[in-house]
Amino acid sequence: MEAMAVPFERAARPAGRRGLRWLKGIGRFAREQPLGLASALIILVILFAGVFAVWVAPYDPLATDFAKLLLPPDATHWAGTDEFGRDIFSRLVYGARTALILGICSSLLGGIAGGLLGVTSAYFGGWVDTVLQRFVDILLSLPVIILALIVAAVLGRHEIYGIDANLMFAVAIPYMPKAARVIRAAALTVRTMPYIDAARAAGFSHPRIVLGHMAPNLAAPWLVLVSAFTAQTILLEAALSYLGVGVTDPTPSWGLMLSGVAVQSFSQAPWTVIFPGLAISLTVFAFSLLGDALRDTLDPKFRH
Amino acid sequence: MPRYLGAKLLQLVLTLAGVAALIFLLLRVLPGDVVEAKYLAEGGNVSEEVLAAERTRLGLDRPTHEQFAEWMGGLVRLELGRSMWTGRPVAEEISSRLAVTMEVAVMATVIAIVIAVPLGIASALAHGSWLDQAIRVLTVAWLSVPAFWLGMLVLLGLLLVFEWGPPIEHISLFEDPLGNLTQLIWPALVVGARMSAMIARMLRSSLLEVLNEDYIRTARSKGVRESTIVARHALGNALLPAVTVVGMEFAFLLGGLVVTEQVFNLNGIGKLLIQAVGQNDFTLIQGLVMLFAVFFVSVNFATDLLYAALDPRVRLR
Repeated sequence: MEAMAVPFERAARPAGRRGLRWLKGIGRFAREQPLGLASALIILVILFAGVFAVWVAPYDPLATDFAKLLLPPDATHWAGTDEFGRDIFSRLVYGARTALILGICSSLLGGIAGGLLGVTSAYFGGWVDTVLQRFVDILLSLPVIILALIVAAVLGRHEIYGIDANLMFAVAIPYMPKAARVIRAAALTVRTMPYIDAARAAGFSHPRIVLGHMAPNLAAPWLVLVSAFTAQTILLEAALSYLGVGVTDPTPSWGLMLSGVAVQSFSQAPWTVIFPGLAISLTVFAFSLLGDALRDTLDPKFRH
Repeated sequence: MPRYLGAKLLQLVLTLAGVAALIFLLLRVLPGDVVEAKYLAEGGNVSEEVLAAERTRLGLDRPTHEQFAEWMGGLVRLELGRSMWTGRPVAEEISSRLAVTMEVAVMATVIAIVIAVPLGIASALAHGSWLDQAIRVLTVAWLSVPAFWLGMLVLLGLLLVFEWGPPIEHISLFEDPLGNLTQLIWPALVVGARMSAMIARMLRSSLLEVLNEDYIRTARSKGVRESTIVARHALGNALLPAVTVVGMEFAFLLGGLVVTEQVFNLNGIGKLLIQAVGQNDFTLIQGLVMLFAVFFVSVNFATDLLYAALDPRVRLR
């Protein structure tokens, strides 16, 4: 049985055309969604800055200089210096690395875990669905930031290459149930497709059907979801760092740069507050717009 | 209907019990406890006996399942226990802070609705036009701005332009209503603006959906004026999902205020939670989390009831 089904599966998609189709898809996306294209370009620039921070940043983000405390922006320090004389622009560039790694990894983590939960729930239905959905209900009944705050406190810190892996979990967990809900709803439709019945009839194992047949057909809503999540996880990380339970000094983080600044001191040096906030807003904005554009392109409901 | 109601109510109770179990277990996994935070953080030389005696007094040395049973037993009787840090009843700690948070939340919601409704309607009616595009991009942009940063900018603006900052000491609504308003309007504006973007987006999409329905086409073909169609035929149906969003957002606002309260230095329950987490005050954290959950689940329940009352398809399913 299996031997018959496999060539059938492959025949539907000739290998050579597939790459071309992707390119065409990207081309269409660029033409139909100028805002999406612009946001993708912004993300690329921020990504570039984060990845090549060593070369992009003009100064060492951690180097203090007590002769240059709270200097306003000028030609040498584009975004001024902070209360320790550190160059704010360099800290922003390195902060991009922190924000993107934490944001993207947590939204992928939450998206994958939640997606698997959702697709399993929809595929099996019955009591499995009921149990999983009640669990999702429990997680959903707490505000995102409260859940993240408590998970962060419970897990403590566990740094790998300067990135707090536990913070990643704390940010990912509140998004897991949201992903589970959305993916479950989409998977319920996929579940009724004849090819799923065919796969069942062919005697494929449950994991194979769930991962090999259902999951690929849920890629579109999942991608939209993860893109939107990334915007929110970056925002959440910034909020947690601002509250002092996220990224810790000396790791440069946009949220942390805004933390602990008293009103009186930032009215003296507004640049210490304005630039990190702009960096967060711009990045989150780009990811949200990309998510919207992806949804408009990929979701048939929005295509007219 | 009673059957539907019963099922929903059972689900509500189960969810709350689940939240209680989850939060209790999470906190027992947490490294350290209140005794450690209280005595060792001060760097003092405290003997092991004192620490052990303190743990016994708070019941922290007892097996986890016994502690859990006692706490759950209290919950059933609507008792939240005493704060492990101050020793005062948790209910008292929370209720003394709840007023500020609720006041800001209510003000923010009103502000949000006032901004969102015209914006959402305009956006949907001008569907596809530059106005719709502009509103759409603006709402996304608005949602991308971190609330705490917006709060800092507001404070900065007030300080630079008017050379005035909101009073630091809390002013009671009953003693000095105007003073209280000038203090709380700023955080309410910050949170409300954010919420309005959310509601406007929801209203736009639900209105668009309704405007594509057959009965709207029928009304149009009968020659009903467009303004009447929107006001009389479409808006009522489109408002329901928007009302849901308002309800959910209001429930989540209590949590979302955590950050804003920090920026504006308001002594609300958000600040209380941050403080409780810092002090490992388990009973207080548990009490606060239950409050958030009860609030959210009740709003959810109310929404379900509203839907069922208005739409017979829901309750017959």
